[in-house]
This record gives sequence, structure tokens and C-alpha cells, in this order.
Amino acid sequence: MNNDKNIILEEYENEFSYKKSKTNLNIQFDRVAFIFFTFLIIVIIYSIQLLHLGTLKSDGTELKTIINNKNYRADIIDRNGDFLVKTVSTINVGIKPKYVIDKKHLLLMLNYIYENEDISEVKKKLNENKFFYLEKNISSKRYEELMLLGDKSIISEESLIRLYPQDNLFSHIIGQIDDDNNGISGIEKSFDEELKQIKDPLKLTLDINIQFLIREELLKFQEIFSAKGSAAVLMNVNTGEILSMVSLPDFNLNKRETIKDVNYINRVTKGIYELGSVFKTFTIAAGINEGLIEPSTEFLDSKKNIRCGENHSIREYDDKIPSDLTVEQILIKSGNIGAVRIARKIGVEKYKSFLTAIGIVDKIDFDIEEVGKPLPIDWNEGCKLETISFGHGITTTILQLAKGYSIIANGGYDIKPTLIKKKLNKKNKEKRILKNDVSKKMNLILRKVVLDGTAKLVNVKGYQVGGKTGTAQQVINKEYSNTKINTLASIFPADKPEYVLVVMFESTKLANEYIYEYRDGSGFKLKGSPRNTAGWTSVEAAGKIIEKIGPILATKYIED
Amino acid sequence: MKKTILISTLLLILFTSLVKNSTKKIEDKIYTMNENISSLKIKLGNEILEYNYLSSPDKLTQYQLQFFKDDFIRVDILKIKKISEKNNIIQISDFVKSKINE
Repeated sequence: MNNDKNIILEEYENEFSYKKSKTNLNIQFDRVAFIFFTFLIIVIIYSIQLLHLGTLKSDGTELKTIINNKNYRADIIDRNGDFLVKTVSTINVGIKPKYVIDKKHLLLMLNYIYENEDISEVKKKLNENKFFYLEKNISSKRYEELMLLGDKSIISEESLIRLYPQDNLFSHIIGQIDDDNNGISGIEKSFDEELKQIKDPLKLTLDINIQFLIREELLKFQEIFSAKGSAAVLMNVNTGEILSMVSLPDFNLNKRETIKDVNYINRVTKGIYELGSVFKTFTIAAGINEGLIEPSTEFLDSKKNIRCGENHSIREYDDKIPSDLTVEQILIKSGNIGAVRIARKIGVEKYKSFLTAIGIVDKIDFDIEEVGKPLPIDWNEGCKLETISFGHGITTTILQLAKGYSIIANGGYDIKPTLIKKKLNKKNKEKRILKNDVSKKMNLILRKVVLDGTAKLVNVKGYQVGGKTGTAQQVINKEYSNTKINTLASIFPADKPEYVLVVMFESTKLANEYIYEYRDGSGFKLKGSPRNTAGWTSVEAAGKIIEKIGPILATKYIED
Repeated sequence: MKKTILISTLLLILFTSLVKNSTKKIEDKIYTMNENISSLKIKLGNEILEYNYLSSPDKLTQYQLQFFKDDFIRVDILKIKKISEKNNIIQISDFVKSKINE
């Protein structure tokens, strides 16, 4: 068999050939790019974090912890940085009776620690099985002794308490707080929210040393004149900063008593009084401001007694006051009729707007809430303008009186009395409300009142004190009584006033044993007060106050 | 080029880590200092409180009466003078500015 089978070998054409992937991805390059991109992202994240950390400020976590404590309140300091109020942490120690293992042993040990104290109450409470405080605000020594007992039933907890290192000195200003750490009076109330939130102490304009000296003098003279109460305020006439504000009687803040007796009101801000002749200064200032009178303007042939309306009769307090007086003599001699004649010249509307402008008749906006509202005045009532001209039939607070005198003394610029120390911008003076020359003229007249008038006892050498006295009958149950409100409103130094000092005594009596030393250089001494007037009470006290605080004001605050 | 980018990136990371590390250390130091300062502040506050209490005008008056009853005399402020030196010239002036002198 011959199978002619031809095997034909054909060349196999392999069509496969290596080709680069047709995909557009360049794997070699993209891998590097990918790594680079990843690193870049990481670097950017790191950089952002670094920048963030670099700009991050302390979050004050610790402070927040303190502030978040429900009993936290910021401290209060005076203008020199001395503490008026301080929150301090204390430790309270209590006992959880259910954890007591051996009551007898515990009582024995407590008896040893509290060796001079009766622990029968503790024994009773241990049997009641309720947690109780063994001792609050414990001393570190006793705390250590108790902890060394190692009894797990003795529990200690930290608490914050408010300390008032000056006791009574600032009671009316600082005010009180309740058991839930809420302010209920004074600065504690009006700055309640701030005190709970701010980390730095609240700085006041007050000065501890000046406050102490003024309070000491007021206490002394309150006793000498058997006064029911007294008040004094010392304020910078240009800034309205109050350096001292004393109202007596006062109370010890550390005792945390509930004060209900109205005699404890703040007589500087809350008490509203008819203050008498101190208002004559406003009458004359209003007349000068309106351009109607000058200090030398004469008022001749004034009657001793004038009729006003149908039923009113106005007379001089002293018949020796001459009938012919210049404007400045009216203030020096405190003439009622002269003041009435000036007020009539000014007219109701202008006089009313003057008193409103200097902040006498409306309720004052102040840093504490205990502020009195002067009684409304019916200016249409028959004799109102005339009586107000010499300070009767008008009420105000001692603080507002100080403000009014400040404006008259400082060049006529409005001021806002304040207890809070702020950074002062000297250029940022309040608006001027009196004409340019009013202060200059008034300060000179006020100085003459001290040199030749009713306020001679406040003429402390070296301080150029100017001022005006006011003796008024106190209104009790809407009737004028025989008790007196004796006031002195003073400014010093009179050539360029820096301070206003108002001193008021309520319900004074004659001091028969007190010896007055005249300040006219004669060395004359007088035993017993001749009259129950401001000139023999408030003026004498103010003189002694200025004598004591003057050197501090003249030296310490001379560069202020 | 690629190598340069890669190396610089690595260096940047290294540098960043070092910076971060030192920042962390500084942060720790600041935290510790703050803690110390706050405890010192509390201590200082308590010391000032004690100082304020002991040197309060009330206490000082008590001490004066107790220890120096007759040792202090009142001096007229107008008689107090101030010595100052300016351009090698000694000047004596009133302690209280003339504005309160009459």
C-alpha cells in the first residue's frame, strides 16, 4: 500500500507579537505619582495640623473647671489691688453613717480630736443613718487628724466660700449673696453674671485706706452728735470715680445676716432727702449759666419775709441777714430770700431743665441697684420754684448731690458716678452742659463760703476747700419734723477742683461736751455746739476727714 | 527629578515629624507651667489676702495704739519738702504741688 499521502508542511505563521498595553496608563510613572500624591496629602494634613497647633491658644480647661464650679465668683479688689472680697476654697468634712464599722471606736476618736467640744449631737446623727456635716470650713490641722483615722465613713469635699476681709467697711457697696451663690444686693447683685464668668478680679474705684479713715470719722462724729445715721461720699469731679462711699450704720458681711431694718439702707444712694441750702448753689449756678446774674450782681431791698402763693410765707433763717446782698453774698450768708429772687429771675422752665441736666431730679443710673428715686415735683404747685430755690420741697440722693456739685466744679462737664475702675481715656470727656465760666465763678464763691460763711470749720489749711452747708428739717410721715438733716457739699482744691466730698448726718443733737477748734488761726476753742446746724456738725466732721485723707489724696493720687 | 521630589517629600515629612515632636514637648512644658502657675496663683492670692488682712487700716491702727502710741507725730504736709536732682543741681520743692497751697 502506498499511500501517497503528502504531508504538506506549511509554515505556521504565529501572529502573536508582544505589544505594549494599549491602555493609557503609564504604570511606572503613575506609581511614583501616586506615592508622591499620597505623601503630598499627608504633608498637607500635617502642615495644616501644625499650623493649627501653632495658632491654638490655651483652652483654659482648668479655669473653665473653676468657673464651672457653681460656687465660683470672681474676687473684688480696690483701686490698689487689695482684696475687698475673695473666694477661697475650703474643706467640709461629713460622715456617712452607713459606712461606719465601729461607732463606738469612731466616737471615741472624735471625742479625742474634738476634746473641748460636745459631740453628743454627732452621736445622735450617727444613729439617724443620714449623711451629715461634721465640720464645715475645717482647719488643715483638724482635717489631717480626721483623715489619719482612716475611717471610710469620713468624707471630705472641697467647697468655695466668699470672704470679706474688710468686714463692715464696704458692706453697702459690696452687698450680699444668698446660699445659691446669687448676688442679692450691692455689686454682688448688679454684677452677678460677670462675677460668675470673669477670671480676673473686678476692680473698683474705691480706696480701702480712704474708706477706713472716712468711716472712722463718721463713726466718731455720729456718736458725738448722737446721730441716727450718717453718710459720706468722696468722688473725683472729673472722672466720676468714687474713692469712698460710707453709709452708717453698716453691717459685717462675713456674718451673712438678713438685714431688714430700714436704718441700714445705703444713705448715699438709696436714701432720698430734702437737703436744704446746698441747693442754693444750683440756683446761683443756673442764674450764671443763663447769663442772668454775675457773682457781683446786687439784690437790693430784699424783704425779711415774702409771701408766696396764698398760704406760703418765706423768711430768712436768720433775721441778721442784710437786705442788700450781692449774688455771692447770698450764698455766703445762705440767704433764702435772695435765692428766691434769683430763681424767679430764672423762671420755672429754665431752672427745671438746669436741675435735670445736672442729674438732680431723676433717678440716677448707677452701678448698684439700691438707688433711690427722688420724689416727683409738681412744678405748677403755687410756691414750688421759690421753695426749691433754697432746697425745700425737693428731694434727691447724696450721690446725686455729689454729681451736681462735681459738674458745677469741673468746668461744666457731665459725669457718670461709678464704682467700677475702667481705663480712662482723657480725651473722651463727657459733653459740656454748663457754660465755660460757670465753674470758675462758682468755685470762687464756694471758697468764700468756707472762708467767710457757714462752713468755716472745714477750712483745712493747704487744701483750698470750698463748699456749702445745708440744714433741713427731716420729713417723717409726710410732715416736717424737728429732726435735722445736716449736710456739707464740698469741693477741693477750689482753684482747680479734683474732689467732691459730701458729708451728711441724720437726726443730730447738740454736743455739749465737744470742743471745737477754730481754723482761722486764732487758736480759739469753743466747748459745746451752739446750734444744731450743718455748720457745727457736718462741717466739723468734713474738716477732720479732709485733714486725714488730704495727705493721701495730695500725694498718692497727685499724678492721677 | 522624580528622585528629588521623593527625597524632598521624605525630608519634609521627617522635618514635619521633628517639628511636631518638639511642638508636643513645648506643649507639655506649657501645660506643666500653667498648672504650676495656677497653683502658685492660688497660693499668692491667699498670701495677699493674709497680707491685706494683717496690713488693713483697722489692724494697723490697732498695732499703732498697742506698740507706738506716742511715737508718731502729725506733720503739716505743707512743711514737707521734696529733694530732686536735675543736671547736677539739687532742687528743693514742696512735696505737695503748689496748686493746693494757698
